[in-house]
Amino acid sequence: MDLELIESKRLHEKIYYTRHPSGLDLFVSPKKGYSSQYAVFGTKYGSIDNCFEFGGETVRVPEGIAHFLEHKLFESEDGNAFSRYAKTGANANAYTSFDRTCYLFSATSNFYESFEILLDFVQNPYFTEQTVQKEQGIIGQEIKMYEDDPGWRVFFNLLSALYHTHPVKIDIAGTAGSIAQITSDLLYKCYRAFYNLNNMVLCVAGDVDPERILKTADRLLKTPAPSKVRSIFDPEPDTIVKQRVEQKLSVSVPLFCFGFKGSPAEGAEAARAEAESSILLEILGGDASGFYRRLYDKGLINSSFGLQYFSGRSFASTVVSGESRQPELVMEEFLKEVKRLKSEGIPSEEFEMAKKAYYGRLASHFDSVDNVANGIIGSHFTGMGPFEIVEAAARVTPENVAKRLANTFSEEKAALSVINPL
Amino acid sequence: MTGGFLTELERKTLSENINFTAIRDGRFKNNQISVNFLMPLKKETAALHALIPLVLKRGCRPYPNMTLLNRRLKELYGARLDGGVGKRGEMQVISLYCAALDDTYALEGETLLRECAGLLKSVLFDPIVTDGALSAEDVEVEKKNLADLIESQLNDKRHYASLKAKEAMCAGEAYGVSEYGTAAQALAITPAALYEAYQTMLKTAGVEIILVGPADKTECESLFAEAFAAVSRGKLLRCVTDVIREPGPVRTVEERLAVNQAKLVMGFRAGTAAPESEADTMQLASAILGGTPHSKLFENVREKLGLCYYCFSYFERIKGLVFVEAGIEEQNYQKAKDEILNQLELLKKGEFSDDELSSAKLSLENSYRELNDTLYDISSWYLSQAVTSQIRTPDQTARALAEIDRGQIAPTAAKIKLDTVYLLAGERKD
Repeated sequence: MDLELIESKRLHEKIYYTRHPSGLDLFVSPKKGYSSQYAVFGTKYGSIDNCFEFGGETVRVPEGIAHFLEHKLFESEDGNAFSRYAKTGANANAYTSFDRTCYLFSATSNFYESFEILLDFVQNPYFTEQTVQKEQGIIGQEIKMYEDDPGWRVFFNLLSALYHTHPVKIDIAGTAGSIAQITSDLLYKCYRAFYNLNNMVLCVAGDVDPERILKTADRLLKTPAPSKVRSIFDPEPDTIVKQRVEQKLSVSVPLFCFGFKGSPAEGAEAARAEAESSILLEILGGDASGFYRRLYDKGLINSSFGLQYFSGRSFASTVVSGESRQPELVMEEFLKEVKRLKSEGIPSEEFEMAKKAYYGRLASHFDSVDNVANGIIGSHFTGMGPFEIVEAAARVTPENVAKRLANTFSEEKAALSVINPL
Repeated sequence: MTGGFLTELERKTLSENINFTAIRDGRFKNNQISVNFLMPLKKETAALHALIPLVLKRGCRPYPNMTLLNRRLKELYGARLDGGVGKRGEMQVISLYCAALDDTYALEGETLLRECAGLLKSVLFDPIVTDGALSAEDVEVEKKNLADLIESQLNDKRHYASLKAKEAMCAGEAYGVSEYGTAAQALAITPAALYEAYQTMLKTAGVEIILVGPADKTECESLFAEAFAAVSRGKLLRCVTDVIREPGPVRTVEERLAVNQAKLVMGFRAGTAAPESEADTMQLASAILGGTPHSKLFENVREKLGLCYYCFSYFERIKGLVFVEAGIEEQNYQKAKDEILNQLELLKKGEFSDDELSSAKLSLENSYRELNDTLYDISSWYLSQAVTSQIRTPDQTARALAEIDRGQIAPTAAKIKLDTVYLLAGERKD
């Protein structure tokens, strides 16, 4: 097992990689002089994986189970991983996203002790009916908290307007009803299917020696019987569900989120899509654009306005969000601006400026150990290498962006979500 | 492993009450320079001061509108220029900063730091002034944005509950004033009044300029020394935070809004504040109480009794207050409140395990040392330190905490006294 060097001379960054015999992908980013070391252990399993083929059967599980599993994995027969981390002083956490679940910690001392805790509890599940019941109460409250969150709701309501069946629209924590159906047996089933090391990745960033990380990981990683899981998605039509969705919550100014359904991508195509879309969105509605200033000065948008290429394994959409008393008008103006840019073309200096700004932002990512580690994981789960987006960004041409402009903003595939005050 | 060998700190007084702190750190690809003005927080001027950075960052004479300014920033590899207002104790801090990629990473040898420091200087010292007033158009747009910002604090219910509790607890004190002022005050601001407030700020505020990153500080330091030398400084303001040690009779406040999860906020007078030496012990006591997932509040109120989704405490070290916040079901309000007070009593009696103590210490040390790792945290740290005129590095603070003896904690915790209980809960369906 040798460590392979992946280097970006442009950014003065080095990342070491190896594929462990268990099938696990291991990355180490040595960042000299940083006080904290950051470790992430992730699996390619998220809220979208609620239907899968494993061990000869097709399984459909309740919504929110990946997130539920994440909570429960911290528990073991004799206690809780947090109590173990308490002794080493690590700052530990975990998150479940649409297409992945990650367990992480950052530490400024006792790194290897904390690293052992991480590798131990993630590889040793322990679920019982009692512990499942207790968590239903806690997660039930978490769900209620998110129901009150207007930023969360405006976005998920948009997803339900854009997607007929694709599980990206499911709330990551599920619903009170769906989590009531979770049992310890189901948790074990999901764990066995998705938490096989060949479906997982381990990443460390900080002032560490890559060889020592590799040796330690090798000692602590089990060698499971190889297995394969395949997520199944019901066919998602190209069309959207509805053009408008509205909800009332206790907010002062309305929030809005409009989006254009797109086609998912993986690997090199995903890197290109990410880079080209980001540069395009900067040109269209970034804070140096004429569009931004025009609407800003009219009081139609404020500094919360943002544009994002929202993508992951099996889904991609372009989303524009912010606060406004006239969300329909903002969307209308945006579509006009798209039309204008299509017919007049993108001025080359605007393209150069956006490209430079994007490159600068990407380079800055590497300043933080947690951005580096999470970035590596995110790229990897979409089939991309750690520097692939930066390289794709450097290669983007005006023609690429013009083509993306032509293909992204179809009105038939667009929906608007609004949260209005009560 | 600390960041020590790659970091040098130098603090210089450019002139009375104007300090330049440079932290040279080769680990980062970016430099960040921030200019911070310290003013006393007052009801009458809060909104005025809050509006200053919002208007200034829209442009300056060389780049007279936000599009031109932002375009220039994009050309400089997506440099960021931003600003806002914050509250530190009873001080209102007006900040403007610029962060940019270091010259090393520029693809065509551009001198990014010089350009960005220059932009920041222009935005601060060379705004667009017409007839003794800042741009009427800019002021008109931004005061509405400020009013909206103030009202939108309603959206995040946890944040809202925290704010309202503090407002109620410190109703007659400067601390109870919002760092943004009120929406009505914001809407009433005129371009001339704003210009006057801006000039007063330049002439009388304490100034902390902080540069963090790999670049050499010489050029930046001279640039700002020169800029401030051109300002005729007047009678300098003294910012003092009034630490009230004893509460009056316990205040209970209840508010009803359409919420699914109720929020409980309890405010306590800590009886000590920075830079008193006991403030470190209070920080540790608060961490044992509810500052970590192994704290007394988390383990008992959440894990053992299942009364809340989150329950934590923190120490507002400049004003000398301790807060406990919990997300609960309204029906559990009394039980949650009782258990929180019970855990505090146990802390005061010294009834906490060696594990609870060591995990709190480790957790705090870890979080202080972590601050070494991002530009923003380093800059923010030294601003906080400057504000209480006690300059310690994060590592020194971590060490000071590690040395606190078990026996010091209970007597310090004994000073924590309940002042206000605030509950935000759902509308009653009658």
